[in-house]
Amino acid sequence: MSEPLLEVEDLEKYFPVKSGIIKRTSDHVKAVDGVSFDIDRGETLALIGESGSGKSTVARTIIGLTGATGGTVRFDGEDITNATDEQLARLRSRVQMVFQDPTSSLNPRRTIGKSLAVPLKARGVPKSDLRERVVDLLERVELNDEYWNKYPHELSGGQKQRVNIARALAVEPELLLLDEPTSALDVSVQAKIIALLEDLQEEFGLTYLFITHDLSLVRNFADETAVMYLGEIQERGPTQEVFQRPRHPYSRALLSAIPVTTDEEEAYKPRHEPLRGEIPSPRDIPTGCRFHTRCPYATDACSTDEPAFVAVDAGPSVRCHIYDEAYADAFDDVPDVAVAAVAGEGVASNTNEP
Amino acid sequence: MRLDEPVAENPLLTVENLEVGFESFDGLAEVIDGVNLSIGKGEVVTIAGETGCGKSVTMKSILRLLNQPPARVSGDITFDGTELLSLSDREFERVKGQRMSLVFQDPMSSLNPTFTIGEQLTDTAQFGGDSDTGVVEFFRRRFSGERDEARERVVEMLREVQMPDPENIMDSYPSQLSGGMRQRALIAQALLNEPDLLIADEIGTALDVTIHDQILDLLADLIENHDLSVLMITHNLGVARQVSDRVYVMYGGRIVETAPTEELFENPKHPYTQGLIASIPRLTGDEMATGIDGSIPEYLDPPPGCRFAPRCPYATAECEEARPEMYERGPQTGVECVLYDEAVPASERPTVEETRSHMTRRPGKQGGD
Repeated sequence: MSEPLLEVEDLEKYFPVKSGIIKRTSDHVKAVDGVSFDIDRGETLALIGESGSGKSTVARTIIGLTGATGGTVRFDGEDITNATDEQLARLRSRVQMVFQDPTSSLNPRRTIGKSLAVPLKARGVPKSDLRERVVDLLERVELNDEYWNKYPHELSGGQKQRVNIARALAVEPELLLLDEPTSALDVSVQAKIIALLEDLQEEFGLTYLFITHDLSLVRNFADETAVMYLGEIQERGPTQEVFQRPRHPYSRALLSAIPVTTDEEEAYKPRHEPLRGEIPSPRDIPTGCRFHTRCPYATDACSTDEPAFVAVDAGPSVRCHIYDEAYADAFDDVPDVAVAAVAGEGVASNTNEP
Repeated sequence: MRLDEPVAENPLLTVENLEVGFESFDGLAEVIDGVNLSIGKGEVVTIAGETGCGKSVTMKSILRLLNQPPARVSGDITFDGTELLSLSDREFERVKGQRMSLVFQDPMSSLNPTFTIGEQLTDTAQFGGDSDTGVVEFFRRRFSGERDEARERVVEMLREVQMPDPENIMDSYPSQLSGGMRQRALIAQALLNEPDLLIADEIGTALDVTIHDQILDLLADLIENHDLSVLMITHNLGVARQVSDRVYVMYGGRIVETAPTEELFENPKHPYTQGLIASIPRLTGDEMATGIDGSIPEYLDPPPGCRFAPRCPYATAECEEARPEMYERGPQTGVECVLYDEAVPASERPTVEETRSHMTRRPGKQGGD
């Protein structure tokens, strides 16, 4: 196998909380707290989490929009953590980002043609070729050259998102960071954008980091899935595994909370386990396992000891005491579905029976 | 056979031939074009559709929330035997304040940031439905024992919507609450007048998946306990399937299909409904369609016939000329599509699979979403 294109190791991003007259740093918001993953060339990693889980901060830190406070980010072997301006200039022609809101990421006073010409000019494309290159880009995202003279307000949400993708592609990047690219769109449009992204990946061998809160979206799209909660990855593994046998109680709760449209899917979902309470503030992260305040299986040990991130059954890695031999005694009252996966008794954890 | 009777048994609310137009500089935009719907007593009904299909305009015209002009509303809206459109504003306020409630989509902007939750909800409990109390009467009642009773009721209601620590929440400002708690406060507020009809516009959509799940569970409990009739408005078909008894699918300002929930999802009939359902990503990993080509109709100059015809893979010349009838296809089931005319053999009617294959990618297609 080739080297991974992107390696993220123990990435940390703490935002200082300042208080008092002299603005002393009194506390930290631990937005990203020790996140590690890597993506191979041409693969897709889906980063899933609810708001406040730090998933967008991960992407922003990779591309240098905010500095990291710890850990390393390596792109194609080169350390790009807190990259210098010179490094960033090189990096940004290889890594690009597509943002969630298609409207606010386009300049309302520029025509689509002008918006798309900016990255081309930055790459030194001569003025005489600009128009032709922009039309090429538009065609790549299945828009025609009529859009050259249009303003963003004349376009629908889906069309705007296509323009954003075209703009990101202008510099011929290798890695695209997709931050909820479809969450502002209707389902019939979302399906088209996903199809477009799949085509582009095939055509140009792109590597994607796909950030979303919608689990069902990544089922077919991502090779690997990582589930984030309060700045930590709780479960990471091949998408197939995470969906068929979600091991972490949080992954299961997320899966079971999705409103689905068919009976097959209903049967496929893990048993419905509504979570208690709300997501704690990242300023005041619970001790021990971060999820213990909402976990249906939490024991005393969970509130004191921080679980390690370990591989289960040579499959996905999970951060949960249930899968740790040392804590096996503490989980007597956990229903079978949770333990069956550990013991590897072949009982799929997505049964519907209590 | 045509489906022109209200489909609900024992209807609480019926909307017949509702038309809403908006005057604009470019002419009249005919947004809602002949919508018929009904909600039975104790029934949970959903209007599902994508952005711009007119679902919110329908809801707003029922509750008289549209400014007229520029809006022009016509048709018949009957609520428990009373014709609503002919009522004066004051009479309508009375009916609305005492018997209907609305929960808005955005829990962030629906509460007044300058008053505590307690003040806002107690005002609703005490003065809800009285639009013309008068200054003297207001102060007399505001500072009487009635206020304490109202406050008690609010705390009780907050407890019922499972608000954590309701006594404390009463003295909190909306900005101190999380999104999920604000949504709960709004639901509590909507239930204070003990409404017969609850209208929920995209409830919980702005919230996280796990919180959304909690809110839907809560809503299901409340519907059961209070024997509510509910009109839900949502773009999420999964939500429609989870909570409702019957679904109306809207497209381009018209209802294109209606059926009991189970029937609609097991056996979607209209090509639009089929395309929509096929476009939803599946948990099981089945292949999903690559969306519906084209975009929603321009309301200033809508297609003359079926409004979905320009995007429909099965459209014929007939579809482009005249609006199809609402054909009855079973109990409480209707489809507005010529393919469901009795003269058309069943074999010519599309299945979801066919529609899915029509809507899976074709190279060289222009993407107009």
